[in-house]
Amino acid sequence: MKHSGKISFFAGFAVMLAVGWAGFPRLLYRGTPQPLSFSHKVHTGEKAGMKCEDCHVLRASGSFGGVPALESCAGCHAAPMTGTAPEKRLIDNYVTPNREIPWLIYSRQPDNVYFSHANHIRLAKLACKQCHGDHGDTDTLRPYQEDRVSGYSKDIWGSSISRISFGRGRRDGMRMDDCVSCHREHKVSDSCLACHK
Amino acid sequence: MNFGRRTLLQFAGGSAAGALFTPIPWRLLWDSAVWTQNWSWIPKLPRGEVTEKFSTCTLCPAACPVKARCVGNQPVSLTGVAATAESNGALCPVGLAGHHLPYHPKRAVLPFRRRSVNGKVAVSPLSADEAAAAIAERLNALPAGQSTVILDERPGRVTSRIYQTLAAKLPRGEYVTSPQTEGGTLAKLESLTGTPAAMNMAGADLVVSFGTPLLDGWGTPGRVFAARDRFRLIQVEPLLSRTAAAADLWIPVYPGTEAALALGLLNLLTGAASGWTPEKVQSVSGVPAESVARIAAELKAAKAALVIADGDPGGGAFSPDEQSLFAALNLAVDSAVHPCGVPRVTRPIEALPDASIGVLLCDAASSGAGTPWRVIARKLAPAAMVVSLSPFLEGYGRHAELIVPAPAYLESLQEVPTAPDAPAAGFALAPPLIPARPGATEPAEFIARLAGEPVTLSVELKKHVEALHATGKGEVVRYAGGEVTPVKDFKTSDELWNALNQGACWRQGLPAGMYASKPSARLLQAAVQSAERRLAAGGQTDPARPLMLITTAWRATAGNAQVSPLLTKLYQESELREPGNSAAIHPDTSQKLNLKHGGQAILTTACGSCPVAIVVDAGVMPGVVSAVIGPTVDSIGAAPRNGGSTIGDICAPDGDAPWRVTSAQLRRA
Amino acid sequence: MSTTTAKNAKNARYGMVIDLDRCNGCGACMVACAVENNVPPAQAKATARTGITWMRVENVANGASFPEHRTAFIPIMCQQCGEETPCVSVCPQQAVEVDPKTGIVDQMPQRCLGCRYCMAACPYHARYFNWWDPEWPAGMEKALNPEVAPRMRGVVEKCNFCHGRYHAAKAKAAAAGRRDIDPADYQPACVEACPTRAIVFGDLDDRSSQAAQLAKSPDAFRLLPKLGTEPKIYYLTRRPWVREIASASSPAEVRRG
Repeated sequence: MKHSGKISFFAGFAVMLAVGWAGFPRLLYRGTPQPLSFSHKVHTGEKAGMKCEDCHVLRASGSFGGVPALESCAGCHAAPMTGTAPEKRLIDNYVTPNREIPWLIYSRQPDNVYFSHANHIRLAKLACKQCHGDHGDTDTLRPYQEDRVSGYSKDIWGSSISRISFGRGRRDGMRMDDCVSCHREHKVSDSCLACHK
Repeated sequence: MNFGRRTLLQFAGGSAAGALFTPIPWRLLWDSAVWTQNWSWIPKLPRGEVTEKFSTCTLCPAACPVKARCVGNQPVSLTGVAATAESNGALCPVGLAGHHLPYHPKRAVLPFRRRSVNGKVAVSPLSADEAAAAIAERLNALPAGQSTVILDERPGRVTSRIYQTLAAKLPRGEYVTSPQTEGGTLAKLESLTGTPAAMNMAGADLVVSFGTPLLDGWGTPGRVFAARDRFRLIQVEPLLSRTAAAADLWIPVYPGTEAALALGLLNLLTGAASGWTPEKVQSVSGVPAESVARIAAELKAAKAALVIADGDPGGGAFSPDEQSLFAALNLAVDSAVHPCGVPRVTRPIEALPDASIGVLLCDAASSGAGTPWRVIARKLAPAAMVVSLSPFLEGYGRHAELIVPAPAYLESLQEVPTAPDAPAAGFALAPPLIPARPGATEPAEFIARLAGEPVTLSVELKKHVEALHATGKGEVVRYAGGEVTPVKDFKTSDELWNALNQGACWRQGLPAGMYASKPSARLLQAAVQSAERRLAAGGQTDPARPLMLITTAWRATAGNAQVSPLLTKLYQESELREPGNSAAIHPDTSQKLNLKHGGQAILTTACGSCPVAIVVDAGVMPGVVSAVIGPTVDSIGAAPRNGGSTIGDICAPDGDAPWRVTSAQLRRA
Repeated sequence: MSTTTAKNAKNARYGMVIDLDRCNGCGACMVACAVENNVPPAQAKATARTGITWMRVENVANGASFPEHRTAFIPIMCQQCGEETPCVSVCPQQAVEVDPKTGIVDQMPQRCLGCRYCMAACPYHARYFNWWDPEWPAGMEKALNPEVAPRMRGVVEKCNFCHGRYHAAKAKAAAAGRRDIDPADYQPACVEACPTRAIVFGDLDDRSSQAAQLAKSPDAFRLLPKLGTEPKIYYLTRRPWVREIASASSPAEVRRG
C-alpha cells in the first residue's frame, strides 16, 4: 500500500515512455507509397550504368533539375525495354498519356528555404551521399512520410526521432540546425538570407 | 492495491513526467512553430525549370518587345528586351504586370448576355453560337437608316483589314476607328501632303510638344527615353504633368488655346499667320510674348525639330483644324519627319451620323486612350445592341448587352502593327505564352461568322508574313540577342514566320531624303484659316460653370484597357498616381471653393455630374480642373461593380474635337 | 571535406545610385518590385499607410505656386544602413542583420514576431507590415516568382535588393565553378525595369563599378546623413531645391506644395 502510489506513478511514466518513443513516431507521420516503384540500383548498376547527374541534372544556370521530368524516363522507356510490371505501368499510365509522374519528394524543403545544389556540389564538392545517404543504391522506393503537423517530409527531421545517430556517415536530417552547424564548421556564410528566400 | 481516483491521478502524474522524457512535447513544439511559418493558406510557389520566352506587348499601340521569365508554361515576370532599339529594355508599369491580366477578377471567359429587368441587371450565360444567333436576329431586323458598325480600336493591323472586308458583307456595315490620340500630327501631315510620314526621334535635337505626354505613355517608351538625352524638350500644356516636370522648358497655356501659340510660331517662322504677333498670342493663350519669340527662335535654329501635338490619352485629340496647323509647323522648320511607312487608315467614328448605329461590335483591343463612352454613345440609335468582344467587364464591356470574350493578353497569337513613333514601318507577332482558356473567341473570327465568311486569324497573319517575305524588304530583329537579319536572307517565308513566332519584329529600312522642303503657301493659308476658325468657336464660358475641365489619362489604363490588380501599388498603396475620378485644382481655386485636399466634391458639366476626390496641386492653372480618366481604386482589383459615373461619362464631346475642354462646376459633396 | 582554399567570395558592399533628374515618376520600379518579390495586390481596405511597397516613389514639390511650381520624384526603399543600423539594434528577435558578405540588411519575415519596433526605428519609413495574409486573385498565384517566399500576416518586410536574384547569380557562378558572381547577373528588379535608366546598382567597394563612381559625384548625396547610419543608397540631382527637400529631416512628409 505504501508503494502503490509510486507504482502507479512509475507505471504511468513507463507507459508514456513507451507511447512517446514507440507510438508517437508512428502517429506523427502519414505514410504514402510512391506512385510507381523505381529501382535506383537497376539504373546505376552494371546493366544501365548511369550516374546520379545523368538524370538529376545541374543546369548551366545553376538551378538543379531535381527529380527528372517524364521526358527523361521516356527517352529510354518509350517502348518496353524489360517488360516488367512497373515498366508497363510507367508506359501505360504516364508515358503514353504524357502525364508527369507525381513523385513525392523526400528531401523537399519548404518554400522559404533556398538551397543551391550548385554551391554544394561544385564549390563545396559534397557528394550526393553526404546528404541523401545511400538512396542511389536502393532497390525500392520507401513510402513518403509526411509530418501530420508541419507537413514536412520525415527526411527533414531525420529518420531517428531523437536525432541521436551514431556514425552513419552522413548528417541524419535536413533541418536548419543541420545546415547551420555544417556552415559554421566550414566557416561559410550563415546569414539568414544565405539560405532563406 | 485499490484502484481509485488517487491511483489514476498518480498514473497521470507519472505519464506527464514521463512525457517530458519523450519526444512528444518537444517535437510538437517544433512542428507547430514550423507550421506557423508555412500556413497552408499561403500560396505555394510554382516549381520547375525557369526559361526565357519572348513576345510583343499588345496592351497599347507602343509595340514593345517583351521578355518573359517562365516557370514551365507560366510567365512569372515580364521585362523589356535590352538588345533591341525598339525596347532598350524598357516596359511601362502596365506592361510589367501584363501577365496578370488573364487572372483579372474582372475578366470574362465565357460569353454572356446582360439585360436590365425592372431596373436590375440580370446576367445569363450563353454559348458563342447563341450569341452569334442573337446578333444575326438583330441584323436581319435592322431598321432602315441604322447601320452595323465594327469599331476598330487599333487600326493598321491585319485584323483591321479583315474588319474592313467583313464590314462590307454585313447589312449596311461600316468600319470605323475609335478616336486615336497617338500619331495624330503625322496622320494630318500625311493627309495634307499625300506622303506617308514617320518621325526620326533619335535624330531630333528639339521637340516641341503640345500637350503630348511624351515621357509618360506616348510612343515606344524605350525608344523615346533612349532619344531623350539628345533632344531639348519644350512642353506646352496647362498643367505641370510628368512630362512638363521633366521637360527642359514648360510653357503653361490656357486650355484650348494651344493653336494660338502655334499661329504665333508660324507667323514668326513663315509670316503666314499675319496678325498673330507674340503680343496677340500672349493675350489669347497666356504665353508670354518673349516665350513665343524664344520658341520660334529655337525652332528656327534647330537642325532636326519635331512638333508633336498628339494630345493626352484622356484629354482627347486636337481637332483636325488645329492639327493641320501643328502639321504645317513641322513643314516650316528643318524637321526630323521623313517620308516613310505605311499610310495610316483611319475612319473616325466622329464621321458617322448621330444616332445611326443599330448594332455596334466593339473590338477587344485597346487604343490606349481613355475614350469617354459619350463619344460612342451619341452615335448609337435608341435601343441599339452593343456587343463587346473584350475579355474584360470594364471599358466597353460596361455598356454592352452581349459580351463575347476574346482571349486575354498572351493567351493567343496576335499581331503588332507599326508603333506611332516608329521611324519606319514595322510588324511583329505576339506569340502566346499562356495556354488559352476554353471558350474564348477571337474577335475577327467571331465577326467573320456573323458575315458568313469564315476566317482564321493565324492563317491571315501567315499570309501577311508571306507577303512581307515576297517583298524581300526590311530586316528582322530577334529579341533573343538582338540579332538583325535582312528579310532577303530568309530562304522561305516559313523561316520568317518561325522567327517572328519566337519573338522578333520586322522593320523597314530608313529612307534617304527629306520629307518636304517648304510648305506651299496654299497649305499654310488653309491651316491658318481653319485654326483661326477653331479658336473663334471656342472660348465661350458659361457663368454657371466657370471652371475649365481638362481630362488626363495614363495610356492603357483607361477606356477599353484593363490593368493588373498590382497597379494598386501606384494608386492605392502610395500616392504616386491619382486614381480615376480625382480632380486636381490650384490652391487658389480650392480656397475659393472651400475645398480641401482629399475632400469629396461633385463635378458638374452640361452632360451630368460625377463625384470626385479633390487633389490640391499648385501645378494646375488657377481656374482649371484637371480630372483623371482611369482606374478607380475599387475597380482595379475588386469584383465587378455596376453603375456609378466616371469623368469620362461627363465630358462633352464636341463635333470633330472630342472633349478637350469642358466648362464645369465644382462644389463640395 | 575537400574545400581547402578560399571558401568565400570576396565581400561586397552593394548599393544604388538614383538619378532624381532622370526619374519621371512612372512607377515601373514599384510594379517590377512587387512582381519580383511576390508582394500581393492591395486589400480593399489598404491605404498608403497600410499597403506594402518595398519601393515607393514619393512626389515632392518646390513649394512655389503656378507657374513656377516644379515637382520631382524620389524613389525610397530600404536605405541599407551600414552603421548603427537602427532596425538591427531594436529587433528583439534577431530577425534583422547586416550580411557582412553583401552589406545587405537582411530581414527574415519568418523569424519576425510583428512588434513593429523596427518600423518605428527606421528613419526612412522603408519597412512595411503585413496587416493581412497575402491574397492573389484566383489563378494569379501561378504567376508568383519561385525565388521569393510569400510572407504571412503579422510580419514586417522590406527591400533586400532582390535577394532571390543574388541567389540565382551565386548559383550560376557556382555552376561554372566560380565563387564570385558576375556583376551583370545581379541587378535588382527595379534597376532592370527603370525605363529611364535612373537607377545604377553595384558594389560600392569595387572602384570600377559605375555605382561606386557615381556615388562620388559632387551631385550625389544621401538621405539623413546626420544620423550616421551610412546608408548605401545615393541620390543624384543637379537641382538645388530637390537636394534641399530630399535632405529635409523627413522626406516622406514633404508633399505637394
